[in-house]
Amino acid sequence: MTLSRLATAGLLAAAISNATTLQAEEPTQVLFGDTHLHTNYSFDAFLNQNKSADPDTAYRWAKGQPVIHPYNRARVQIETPLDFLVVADHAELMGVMRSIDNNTLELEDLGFIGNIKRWFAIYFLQDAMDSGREGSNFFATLLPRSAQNPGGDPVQDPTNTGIGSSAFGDTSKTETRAWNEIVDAAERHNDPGTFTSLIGWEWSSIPTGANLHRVVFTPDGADKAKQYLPYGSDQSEYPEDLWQWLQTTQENTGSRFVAIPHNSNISKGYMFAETTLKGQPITADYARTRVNWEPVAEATQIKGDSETHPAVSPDDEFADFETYAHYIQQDAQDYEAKPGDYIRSGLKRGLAIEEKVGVNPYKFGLIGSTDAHTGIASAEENNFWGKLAIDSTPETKKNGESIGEMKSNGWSMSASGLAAVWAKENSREEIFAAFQRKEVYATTGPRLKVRMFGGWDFDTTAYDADNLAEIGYAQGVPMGGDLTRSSDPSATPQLLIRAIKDPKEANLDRVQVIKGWVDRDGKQHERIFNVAWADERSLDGNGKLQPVGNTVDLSTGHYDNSIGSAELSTLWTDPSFNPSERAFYYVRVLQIPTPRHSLLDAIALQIPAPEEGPATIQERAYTSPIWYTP
Amino acid sequence: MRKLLAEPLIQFVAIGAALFIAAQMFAPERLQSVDEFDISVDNKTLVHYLQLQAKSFSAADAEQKFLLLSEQEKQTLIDDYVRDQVLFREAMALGLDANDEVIRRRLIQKMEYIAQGFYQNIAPIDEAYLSEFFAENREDYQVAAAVSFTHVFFDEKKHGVEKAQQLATQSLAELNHKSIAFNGASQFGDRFLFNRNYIERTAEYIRGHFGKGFETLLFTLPSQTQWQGPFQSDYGFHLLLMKRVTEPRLPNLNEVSGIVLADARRRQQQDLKKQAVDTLIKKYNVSKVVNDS
Repeated sequence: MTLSRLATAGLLAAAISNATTLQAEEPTQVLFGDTHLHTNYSFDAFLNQNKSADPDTAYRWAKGQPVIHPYNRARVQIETPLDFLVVADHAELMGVMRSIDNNTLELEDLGFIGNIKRWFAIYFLQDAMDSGREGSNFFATLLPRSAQNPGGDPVQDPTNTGIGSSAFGDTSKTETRAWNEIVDAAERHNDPGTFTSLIGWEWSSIPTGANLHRVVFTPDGADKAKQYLPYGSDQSEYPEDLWQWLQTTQENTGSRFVAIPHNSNISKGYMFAETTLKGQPITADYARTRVNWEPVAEATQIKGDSETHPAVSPDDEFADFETYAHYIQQDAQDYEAKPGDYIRSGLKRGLAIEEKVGVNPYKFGLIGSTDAHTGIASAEENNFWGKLAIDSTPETKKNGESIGEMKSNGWSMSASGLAAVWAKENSREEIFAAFQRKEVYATTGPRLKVRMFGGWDFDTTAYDADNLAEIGYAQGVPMGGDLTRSSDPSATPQLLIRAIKDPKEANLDRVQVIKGWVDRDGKQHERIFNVAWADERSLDGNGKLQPVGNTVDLSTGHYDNSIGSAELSTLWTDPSFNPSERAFYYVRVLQIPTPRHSLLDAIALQIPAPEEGPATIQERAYTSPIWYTP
Repeated sequence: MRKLLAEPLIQFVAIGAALFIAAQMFAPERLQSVDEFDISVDNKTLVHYLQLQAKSFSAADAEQKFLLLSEQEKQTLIDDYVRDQVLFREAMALGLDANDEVIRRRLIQKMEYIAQGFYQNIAPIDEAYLSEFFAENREDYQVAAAVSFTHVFFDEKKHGVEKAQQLATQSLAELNHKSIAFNGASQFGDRFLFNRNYIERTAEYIRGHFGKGFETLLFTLPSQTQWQGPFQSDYGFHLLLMKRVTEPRLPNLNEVSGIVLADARRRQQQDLKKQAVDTLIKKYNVSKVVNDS
C-alpha cells in the first residue's frame, strides 16, 4: 500500500467510526472554528516577529496540542480545541519575508542595477527583521496613506500606491512554493469527522486605508488548489475583479469558493456602500454576483467588533462594545463611524437596495474569526496570545509603540472571534454547505450554543422541548433562511430561540432580537427586543431591562456564576409586524460580565486597568439573520 | 541524499556559498576603492547611505530626501559616511570582526540556513521509515480515555435540590424495574441543557458539561445494564446508564498516519541537518584539553 493510500484509509476509517458511534441526537451539531488565521507566511506577521509559527503550528494549536509561541517562546495551549480552521495568509508577498530571512528567496535576474537594489533591500530587511522594532517600522512603510479625495474611488486616488514592493522582482516562484506548503499542511491535518482544515487565503485590498479585505476559502483539496496561485490585491484592488477571478478559476479548475469580507468597521464607509467601489449605482447584476460569492460576513474579530457602533445605533445600549477606531495606514486620521462600516446598517441598506433593484447585495450571514497573525487562533480573554506576535505579552501590549501613526496597542485589540457552524458532520463539504446556506453565527470567543428558527406557527411549548431543533427544522427555517408572506394575512413571524452557555464559562444575561426593516417611504429602521433573560427582572415601559449585575473581582479577575442563567429559551412573536415591509431578524445573546484581557494584564502588572478598554465586558453571540420578503 | 552530502563537491559548493554570503555582507564597501586608504563618495553611495540611516525602504524616497538636502546637510552626510567608512575599515584591519559574538552568531545562523538548503528537495518518506518512526514514538500518539453513557436528569433549579433528588431516587427504581434501555432514556426526567447521550467523550469534556469532580466519578463507575445514581452535578441529579469506559490506548498507525507522517518528516529534516553539520565537523581535528577539576 502506498503512503497516500494508507493515509486515506486511515481517514476513512476515522470518518466511518465517527459516523457510526455519533448517534445523531439533533439533526445538526454546532462546530466552532476560525476562518481567518495568519501564520509566518504572511508578510506582516513575519515582520512583526512571528518567525516560527507556521501552518503546522496553527493546526497543532487548533487541535489542542501544546505549541511554542513565536515571540515569547512560552508553551501555550488552547482551552477547548477548535473543530475547524482556515489558514488564511495574505496572498500578497506570500512567504516572501520568510524566504528573505532564511535565504530561500527564488531570485530572478533583474539586471546589474536591479540585482544590487534587491541585494540592498534584502540586506536591509534581514537586518531590520533581527530587531522587532525595525521590522514593524518597515511594515509601516508598506501601509497606505489616507485619500486626497475622500469619498471618491479610493483605488484611483492619487495617494493610492498599492501594496508590495517591486524591489524583489518577480516573487511568484517563492509564492508558489509557499502556497504549495500551505496547501500541503492543510491536507495533512484534515481529519474528517474530527477536525477539518480548509484551504484559503486573504485578498488584502486596502486602497487609501479603506479596509476591503476578504478571506477566501475552498472546500476542495490540493489537486485543485495547486492549479492556481491565490489572487491578491496586487492584481486588482476592486472586489469585482476578485469575483471575476473566482468565477474564471471555478470554470477552469472546478474549485468552489466563498469570500468573507471583514473589518468593515475600518472600511471608511466603503464595505457596505450605497454604490460600487467605482462609485457606480448598484445593479441587480452586481448584487447577484456579490451575494453569490459573499454569503457570509465577519462581524467580530481582534481588530474590533463590526456589529454596530454607538454613532450608528444610538438607541442600542450595548452598541459600545470592543469598538476599534484605528485605520490601517501611515498617517493619522480621526475615526468616523459610517453606516457603510457596520453589519447592522449594512443589512438594512441591503433591504433598501433590494427595494430598488430587486436583489439584496448585503444578504449575508454572520461569523466571527480571530485574524490573529501569530499562528495561534486565540479568542479567550484569559488565554489570548496577541494580534501580532510582538504584542502578545502584558508588557509589549502596554508599551507597543504605534505602527505608523496608528495609535493602537495590544490592549486596543479584542480577544475575539469564533465562527460557529450548524452542520450534519465535521467535514469540508458540510462546513462549506453551511456557509452557503448561512446557517452559521458569530461569537466573540465563548462557545455559546445558539439555535434560532423562524416560522409562523410553532407549537407553543416548542421552546422547552427536548427536540427543539427537530421541531425548528420541521415547522420553520433555521438562521440564514427566508420567510415570505404567509397565506394567512393575520399570521405573524415567530422566532424559536435557545441559547446555552459555554460549558466552561460564564452564564447568560439575556437574549435579544434585533429587527431591521424598510418602511413604505424607503426609510430604514432598527429595533431591539429583550426576549429572554436571567434572574428576577422585568421589562420597564420602554422594553428595557435592569443590568444583570457584575461579579468580577477587579483585584483578582475572578467571577462566579451566582448571577445569570445557564440556558435561555423562548418562543417570540414579532409585536410590530407589517406584512408589506421587508425585514430581517437576528439574535444577540449576552453573557454576564467577565474580565477583559487588559484587566488580567493590569492585575499581573500591578497597575490600574488600562483605558484602552473597559475592565469587564459582556461577551456575546450574533446569529445570522432570517429575512422576511413580502 | 545522505551520500550526496558526503560528496566533496557538495561540501565545496556549500563553503563557496558561505563565502559568497560573507562577501555579500562585507565586500561591496571594500571594493569601492582600489587602495585601502581611498574613500570615494558619489551620489549613489550617499543615497544608499541615507537610505540605511533613515531606515527607509524605498530607494525613491531616499533619493527624494537626498535631493532636498541643503549643502550643509549634504556635507554632514558625507562626513558621517566617511567617519563610518574609516571606522569600519579600521575595525576590519584590526580584525575586530573575528572575535565578535554578534557577527559570529549571524554567520552561524546563515550557515545553518544553507545547511537547511540541502534538504529542500528531500526524498519522500517510505513506509518502512514511517513504521520504524511510529514504533519508536508510539506513546506520543496515545488516545485519551473516554466514556460512553446516557443519563436521565432532574433539574434542581426547577424542582429545588431536595425534590430533584427525591424524584431521581424514585425514577431509579422505575428505570431498573422496566429495564429501560439506552435509547428509551429520553422519555424520562427533565431536559438537560447539554447532551442526552455522551459517546466516547473525554474526562475534560465531561467536566465542562457536568462540573468539576463528575468526571472522576464517571470513570470509576462499572459498566452494567442497570441504571445507577442519583449523582449530583452543577445542575441537578443524574441517573446514569453506563455503556463503557474506554481505557487510554495506543493507536494503530493507520488511525494517525497523517500526523505521524508530518512528525516523521520533521524528524528527517532535523536528522539531515545534523548530518550536514556533522559532515562539516568531520573535516576538522578537534583537540580536547578539558580538565575535570
